Amino acid sequence: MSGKAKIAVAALLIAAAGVLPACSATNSGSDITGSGKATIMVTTNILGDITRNIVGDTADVVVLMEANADPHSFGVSAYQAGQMEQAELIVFNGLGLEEAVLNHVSSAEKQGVPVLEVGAAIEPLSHQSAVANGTIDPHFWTDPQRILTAITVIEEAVAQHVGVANPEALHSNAANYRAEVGELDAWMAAEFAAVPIDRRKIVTNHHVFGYLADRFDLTVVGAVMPSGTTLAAPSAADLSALSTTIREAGVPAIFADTSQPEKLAEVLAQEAKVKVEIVPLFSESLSAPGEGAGSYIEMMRTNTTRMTTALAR
Amino acid sequence: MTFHKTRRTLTTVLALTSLVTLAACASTPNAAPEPDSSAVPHGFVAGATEADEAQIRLTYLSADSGTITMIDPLTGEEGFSTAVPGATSLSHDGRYIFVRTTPNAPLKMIDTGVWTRAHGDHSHFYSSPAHTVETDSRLPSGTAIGDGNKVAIFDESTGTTSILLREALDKGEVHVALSIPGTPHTGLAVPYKGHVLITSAPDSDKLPTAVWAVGAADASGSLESLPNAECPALRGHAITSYGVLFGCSDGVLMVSDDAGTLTAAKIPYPSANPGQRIESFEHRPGSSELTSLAGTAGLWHLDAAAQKIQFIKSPEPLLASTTAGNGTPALAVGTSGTVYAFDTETLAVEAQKQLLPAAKTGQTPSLVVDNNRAYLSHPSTTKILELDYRDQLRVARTFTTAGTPAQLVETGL
Repeated sequence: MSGKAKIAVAALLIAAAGVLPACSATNSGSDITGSGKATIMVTTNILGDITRNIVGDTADVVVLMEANADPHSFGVSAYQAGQMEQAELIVFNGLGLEEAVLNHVSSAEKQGVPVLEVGAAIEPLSHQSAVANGTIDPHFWTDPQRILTAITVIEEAVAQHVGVANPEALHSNAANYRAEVGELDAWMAAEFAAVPIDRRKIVTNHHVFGYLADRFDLTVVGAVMPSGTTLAAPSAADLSALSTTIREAGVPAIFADTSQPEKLAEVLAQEAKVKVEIVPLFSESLSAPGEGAGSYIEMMRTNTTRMTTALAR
Repeated sequence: MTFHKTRRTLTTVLALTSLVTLAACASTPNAAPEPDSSAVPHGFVAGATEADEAQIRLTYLSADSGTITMIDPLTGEEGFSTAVPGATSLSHDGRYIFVRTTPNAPLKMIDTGVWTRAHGDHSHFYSSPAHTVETDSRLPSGTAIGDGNKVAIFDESTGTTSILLREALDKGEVHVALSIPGTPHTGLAVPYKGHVLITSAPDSDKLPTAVWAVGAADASGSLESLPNAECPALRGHAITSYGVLFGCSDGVLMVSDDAGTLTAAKIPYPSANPGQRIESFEHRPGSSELTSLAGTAGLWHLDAAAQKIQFIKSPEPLLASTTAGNGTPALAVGTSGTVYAFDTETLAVEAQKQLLPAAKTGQTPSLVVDNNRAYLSHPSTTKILELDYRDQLRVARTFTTAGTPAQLVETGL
């Protein structure tokens, strides 16, 4: 839309406002938060943090999924769905990550809300395992270089679709954040390079590190963790698959989401004679502030330090 | 990148301008608080939590009291329990349990609150509180079969198939999304990808002889016969990733979905056939390896991927069987109360253990299996045995039950 047209429309509105009842229930804006600024809705908290860094205080960013929420399991309340239809822009991860939210994104889109699928702009990879049949891996944020691309894409979408309070501030915020993420990427590259190549193996039951491995020349070795029911009364047979994987990889640590990491380490040592450290990582969600993954950059630094420290032992 | 430039941009301009004009209106409709919970359909379970591993629940029906009780195998403790007077049998779709009472009474439904969803190269595991699902309208009566996306309830007395959608059920909305008329017979209906497979019988007092299909999304869709889907004296079904299996007098009918088109093929019994025909299938949910009792002589072991059936000879008549597949043994319980683990390559007994009392007439043990353990119960005992089938049928744990389990099911897989 040209500048001239904008002015024309604005003039039209001001005229119309005089005609409308003073407190009409008619919805005509995206000031969902009541702050006086335009509102951008973002689905995941990781993209939410990135978007906040880009827009700064030039617009409001509402994140649908709070910290520690898993994007796969997330559902939208009727209230949030209504909010989405009034947003200035919806930013979502896409590539199949937010299955439960997608119908709300498309219904907002039908209402005329611009939507941005960041995943479509970052050269997606396929899942690596055979089971997945080459389906697309949506967890691109584990590669900071792809986040550099994402920053630009989000910045452009905001500039194009959102009436930000201060466009210059938007571009300088984005530039600053690109520099920070670029620094993160260089730091991670140096950290992983310091781990001997034969140790750069991530034995894990997480499914999000395909992009990280692609960027930093790591090997991800998929592993199935014994269930809580087997750990309650285990035998060597229960652990044979995992202990074989660990022995073959020859690693001193595995990176697992498991409800009972200490019990698993103890049982592996006792039943399978495998001594291994079990290290938790952040995968699909930021943590509350101060818990290691309060922001995207902090999450990446925490994971990198945990991986490199454990593998260097 | 998905950019959709629309009239919304125009609205934006309107919005920014109108803010100034309408500043006096402190409370906009957009800033309204979250609606209170009374607006949410009853039965809605907010905030299911995701877990690191499958959250499984064992649920048993006590024959004497009709009480249905859940056990969390992580702790071995009994939790949710509810009395369903007259309950005779349970079926489930991985999350919801459907309770049959008298033949023509509406089904009762229990949400066990645990389920697994496959997603690319991994799965997601959820849990939420278990509860009895209250329904505004009566559920249909009949046999309920679910594939995780839909539930089909086949009413033998009317021949009608009622379809419930999981998407709606998961929001607490219980209503029949589609009703497919048919003819009364002892049959069943199986939801399978975009279709519902429904048995067809020549007469109401005869067993079905074929499988027909209807598009599941098509409210006006008519039931149509499938080429090559004959299945004389059809009994029993199983849903696998390779297709839906039906037990027939001349073999196993497998109906598969090839990019939306259904195809049917018969897997014949081995030519030297010492066993009786298949009447039901057992397996770990998701597994393409299955077992079936083969009369008194032994059991059948089926591989749906290889379309192969083999006979495993048993030392004694069997009452229950199942398998977790993937090279793990076929498991079975004999009338003496002995549990057997059969190697599915050599067909030999690789382990056996006397774990249950000898069977009395009419008492059938229950045997269910997941990727890690098998669970075994018997109607005359008050315990559930947890078996490590990879370790010579080692009894890993024994859970004490308040009632006597007439039937045991496992959900969350």
